Amino acid sequence: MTKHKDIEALNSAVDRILQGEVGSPPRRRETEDPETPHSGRRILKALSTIPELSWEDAQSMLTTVTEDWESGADNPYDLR
Amino acid sequence: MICVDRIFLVDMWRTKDLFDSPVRDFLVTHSADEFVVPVHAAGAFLECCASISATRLKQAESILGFFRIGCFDFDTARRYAAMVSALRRGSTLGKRSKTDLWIAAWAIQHSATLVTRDKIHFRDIPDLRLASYLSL
Repeated sequence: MTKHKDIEALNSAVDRILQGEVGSPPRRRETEDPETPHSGRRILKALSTIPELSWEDAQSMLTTVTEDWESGADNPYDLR
Repeated sequence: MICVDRIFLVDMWRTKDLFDSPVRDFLVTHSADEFVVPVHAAGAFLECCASISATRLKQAESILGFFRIGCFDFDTARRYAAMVSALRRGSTLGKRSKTDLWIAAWAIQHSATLVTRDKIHFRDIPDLRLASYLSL
């Protein structure tokens, strides 16, 4: 009797493994959204691939004289 | 959909490794949203990088590759015209940047939220959804 129960338990465990309930990572559902290109998450990951920007270069980029500041107004983006 | 300006791009770049960067926080908060750089903002960003060096220009082009570039069309022009004439009628046009006005027109056209450092540059623009990464 005990042997029979052991075999039943073993068969049940094998079924669960074959059905993917145990022993393998959960299968991805078709309805899950794939990661959107240009998403905030993607951009955050990509940031590690770009070189650093020096303070001097950032300052120069923020204060570049374009039509915006030619009127003589103070540039609000000056880092100093 | 989130639309960004040149200052967002520069701030993102210069603070990319800072743990408490407001731009990083904004990207985390909107991690599932699509980020778009309207073509006028892309041009302004490339221009300020090109003024430093060819290397910075190349790097800026790579950074823009992370984003969708929002192109302008005739409908953008109609939105721009309606917006600017409304501001002029209300005496609130002032000495605004034309680049900013085109970016705002694109954001309105596409019902996108425009994120910038300082919302004051886009004040009083009708129908514009505005956010600042400094006020999270």
